[in-house]
Amino acid sequence: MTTPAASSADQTGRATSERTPTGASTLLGLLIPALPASRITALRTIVYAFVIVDVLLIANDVPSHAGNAHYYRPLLLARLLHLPPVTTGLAYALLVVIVVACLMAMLGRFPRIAGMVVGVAFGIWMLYSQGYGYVSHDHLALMVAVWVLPTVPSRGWHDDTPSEAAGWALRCIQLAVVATYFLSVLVKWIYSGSPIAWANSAILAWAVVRRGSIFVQWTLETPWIFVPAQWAAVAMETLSPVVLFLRGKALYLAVAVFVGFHLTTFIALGIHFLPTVICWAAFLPIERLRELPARLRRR
Amino acid sequence: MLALMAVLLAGQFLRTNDFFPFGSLDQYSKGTDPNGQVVNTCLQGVREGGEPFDIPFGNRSVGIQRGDVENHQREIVADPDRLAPLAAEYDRRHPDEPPLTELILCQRITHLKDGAPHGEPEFVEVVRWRASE
Repeated sequence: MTTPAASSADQTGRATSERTPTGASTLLGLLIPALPASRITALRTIVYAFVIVDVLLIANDVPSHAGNAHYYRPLLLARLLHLPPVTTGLAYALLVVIVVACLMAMLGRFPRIAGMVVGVAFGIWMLYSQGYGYVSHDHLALMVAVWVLPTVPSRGWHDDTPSEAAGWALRCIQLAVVATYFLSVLVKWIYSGSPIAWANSAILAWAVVRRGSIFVQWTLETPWIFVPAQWAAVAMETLSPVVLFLRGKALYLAVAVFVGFHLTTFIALGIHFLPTVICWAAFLPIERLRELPARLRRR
Repeated sequence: MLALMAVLLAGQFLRTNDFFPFGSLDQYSKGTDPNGQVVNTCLQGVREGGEPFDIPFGNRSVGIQRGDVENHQREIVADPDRLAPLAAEYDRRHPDEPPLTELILCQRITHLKDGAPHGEPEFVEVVRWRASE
């Protein structure tokens, strides 16, 4: 029986090295850390399960776009692939392929090949979802996830061998998650003059007027709370790269803060950002989810 | 990894969504003037002999989201027939109702004063599509 290598990894699964680190090896260790292979198996289950939810409930506008051919504004990748406006038949064919491939990848049936099929089919699906006028930015990390997961060899839920292939894929997803927040500060700079101008603006009042839920209509009577909330948001986004270097409880706390932020925007504005929220799993020792069935049985 | 980061960074400086999924992260990036206005795009339908009534955007209503329509507003104003597929989808989903004879793309404009709504929203008709006889 193979002995699990969990003992050679720290609390978040980072493999320890006995060699004295040089500058180059430290950089490589940051970009391509050796992380438990089983973490990818866990992440495959989470990501592919979510993709099914996404195409059915969130980015589920592709079939209805079949009637909106005049609104088709193909994005760069769609133009390179010569994708014509979507038809009802094509939309449902893509849907079936995505769901079947996701189920296969989740169940460990040819997960890399099934993952590649998801990468292509879900990529085309999203080019259709986003190709009719409005482009959201909550799918950056999820798209990176479906494209890098097939690069990692398939291992079992109980194989904790430190793997650089797993570490590279996880780091790519982590960087995409952080970029989603950090680069949005840069864009605030570009569009608003500076993050300070953005933080002092009436952007939250604008959002509440346009799409505020019944839970936050009262805030329009007390608009002074918007500016501190906007400063908190821009501070959180500016500091987001710090999570790449956190470990243990500090990391869990940071993830909780970001997920809590999205829960708040969901309750207040109906903006859930779930495709990014799911990818926060890439920061956590999610291979421990394998212990969940036994724990539930003990109860 | 570094090449994709470079594409993502270029997408920000070029202010383009064309590079999806590596396009501009521009949602909610434009600060609103505390004494400016909030434009809420809306749709109203009219049936034969009836009064205008509000119609929500979305896949299960007119087959398209508000943001998609807002990003095509100039083309719709130039050619109101672009609203025809939205009316057709709405009628398809309401087979027991008489068909729409008109579909109005409208705006409810809320004026802000010191970061809070000031006065009643102003209703503006942007463009009206009429079903051909």
